[in-house]
Amino acid sequence: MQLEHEVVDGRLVVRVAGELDLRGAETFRREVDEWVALTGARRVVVNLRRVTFIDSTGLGALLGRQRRLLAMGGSLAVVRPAAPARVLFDAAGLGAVLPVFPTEEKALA
Amino acid sequence: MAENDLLIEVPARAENVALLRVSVAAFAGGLPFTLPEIEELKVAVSEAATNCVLHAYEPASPGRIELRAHHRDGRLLVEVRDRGRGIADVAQARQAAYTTSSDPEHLGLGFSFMEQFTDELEVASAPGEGTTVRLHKRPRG
Repeated sequence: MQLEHEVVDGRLVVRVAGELDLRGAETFRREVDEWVALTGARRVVVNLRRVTFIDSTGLGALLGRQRRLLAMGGSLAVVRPAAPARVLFDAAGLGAVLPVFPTEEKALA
Repeated sequence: MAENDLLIEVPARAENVALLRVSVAAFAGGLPFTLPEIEELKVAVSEAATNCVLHAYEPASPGRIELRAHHRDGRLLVEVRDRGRGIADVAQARQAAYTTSSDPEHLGLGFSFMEQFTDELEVASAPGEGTTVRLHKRPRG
């Protein structure tokens, strides 16, 4: 899994590529928490467009970041993965608990 | 379609979860599954293998994951087995959002997704005797 980040208009944008499974989720948690601490950003957009696989550990890592950010007075928004990684994402009904956007532009609008 | 079978054994470590699900996905290519069905299968195998890594063994005594798959008469069976601590109450463990983990980011949805993304899920386990998960899936077409 690869991660990159950028601050856009005070918001931390994290772009994820590859597989968000048990191993990927561990890295994702550690890196995102560190970037939030370093940049001071409290509003985070996680772009999953280039994620090729996601399972319950990946979902747990996303919801865990959301919980942390909400506790800090911040927020987390997500850009939906492309098919086929969308299978679980849609089945889990994540849109009910997380703001989900079709593109990064819309998430930042 | 000819029968086929697969046997893999790996250490129960996070980096091997991908190896197992991708192996099953390739193996399942021998049956007329659609791409979304293959993705469902990958999620189910990933959840089963993740449970072995997170729950089966004490950190001080890591063990292995045994994966068997076969297809016969147009249906696929995947068996994921550990020789770890086992589950005392399987019915409770299979409930959505139930987890023994102290980590709030472990959602307890592994068995729910295995159930949702296969035709049938069987779980055989007893304390001290490890856990065997059987995932059955047949192409819908």
